[in-house]
Amino acid sequence: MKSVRQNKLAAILFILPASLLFFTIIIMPIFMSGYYSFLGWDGINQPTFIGIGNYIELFTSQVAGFPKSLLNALILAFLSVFIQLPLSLGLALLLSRGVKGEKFFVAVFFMPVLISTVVIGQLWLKIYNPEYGIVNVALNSLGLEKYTRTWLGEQDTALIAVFIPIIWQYVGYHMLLMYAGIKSIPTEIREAAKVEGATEGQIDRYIIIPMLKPIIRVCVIFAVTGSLKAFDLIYVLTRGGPAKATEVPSTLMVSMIFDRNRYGFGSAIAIMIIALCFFFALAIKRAFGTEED
Amino acid sequence: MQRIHVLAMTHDAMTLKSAGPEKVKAALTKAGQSYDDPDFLESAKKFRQLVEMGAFYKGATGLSNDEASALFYSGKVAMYTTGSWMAGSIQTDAENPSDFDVVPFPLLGSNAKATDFMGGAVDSIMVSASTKYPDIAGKAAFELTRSISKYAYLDGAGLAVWKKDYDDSSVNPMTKKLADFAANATSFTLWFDTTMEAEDAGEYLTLLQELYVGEITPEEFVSSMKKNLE
Repeated sequence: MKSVRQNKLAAILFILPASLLFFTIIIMPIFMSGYYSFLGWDGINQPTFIGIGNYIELFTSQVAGFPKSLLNALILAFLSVFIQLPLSLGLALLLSRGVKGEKFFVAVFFMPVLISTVVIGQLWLKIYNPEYGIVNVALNSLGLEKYTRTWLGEQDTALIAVFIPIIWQYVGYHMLLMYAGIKSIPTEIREAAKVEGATEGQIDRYIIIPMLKPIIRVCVIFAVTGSLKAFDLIYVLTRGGPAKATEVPSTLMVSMIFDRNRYGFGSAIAIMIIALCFFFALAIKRAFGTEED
Repeated sequence: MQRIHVLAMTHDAMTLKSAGPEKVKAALTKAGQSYDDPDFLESAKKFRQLVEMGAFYKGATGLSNDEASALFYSGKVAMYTTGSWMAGSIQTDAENPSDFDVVPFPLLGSNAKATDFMGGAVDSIMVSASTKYPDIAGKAAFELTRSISKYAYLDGAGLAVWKKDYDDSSVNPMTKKLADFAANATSFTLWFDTTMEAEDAGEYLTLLQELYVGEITPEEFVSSMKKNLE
């Protein structure tokens, strides 16, 4: 084993396939997008170099609406961190105490993560359907007709109507991460605290959650970066409409590139998404401190 | 965006019937006609008026095309602006196909005729100029389009753009009626988003959505469209 490790050629050979894939599938496209973002290009004709023109347009053009899409993504990130993650943490804490049917509930809460997002989108389209959707039907049967809405078709309800399924879908994902984290904490610690007279709430508050900090940090990073690149469910439910009410950077990017043939501008949005994800990942890491590393 | 297309068809047709085919074409192809014009404004105003009076189904912007047409097939909405292809789907998807009929879009003012239509022959097959065998490729395209035209018509999926030298007694009456409309048409105008360049078309659909939800006024709509097409 030792001789293999010392053999540089062998090491390089073993790393080569993975690094080739990584380079061609991840690194190259990022750099190519970076290059395209400086072009005025429709994807077919000869491109023209326009410097940072696309980036200036991103933040100044009222028509393109990038700032609004970014704001929507940040609202989603906020909701993910302050609603989705506390829910996940609560469920993880509850389930890891060894409630009856623990495994069953873990599977149930994780189920939405396993189902294809397009299927979930179709399900929620039916839930929100103004004619026969369960939301309006329930409101009608409770005599609350005045609260019925075209949930995905009205500007003031579309955004929240789209965010609810996104947040719901990934509660199980974060719950599983946290649940696994809690399960890896030695039971002796919990037992010792109990012997000392700590209540379940105190154990969670002073022992489990602080020990779970690295996992929570990862969850926060996933939730925030996931929100910044949220795409699939929004695309299925509203495609960013009505009148851009649910537009996020990714849906705007797709509509710019594929509906309007603006490859350069779309690439600039892609680069902004990547840059923002990196920025937030680093900022969150710093905010949590690095003492546990 | 998918949901705006049905609305866009209504607005396209209204604008054609308000401004007339020449003016629409000149504005959309940037041939010296400004979009900020009384006839275009009239169409936008009428469109907005229809929204305000509740002429559109309440949840129109939240429905997919399939959901919207299902409401029409089941008799829950009274009218549907669409293209000839629906004549075929009505036969298979509606409970009582005989309950349905087709009429040309009404006129707004006197710039257009009842026989001016939106649509026309938009599907096409092209031969590359750099092909080694232009004659054979041309013939192949010719034969393909002739068959596509014939079988699309016989199935009620489209109208025949070729002379009909075959038995079409199996074609549903609505498609036949449409074929008569097309045969007597004085003009065909392509859908706005087909005529315009991709970027302008995307902007048009966004502006139309904003007009629909009341975020912009008809005046703002036409002046933004003017800027869009400059």
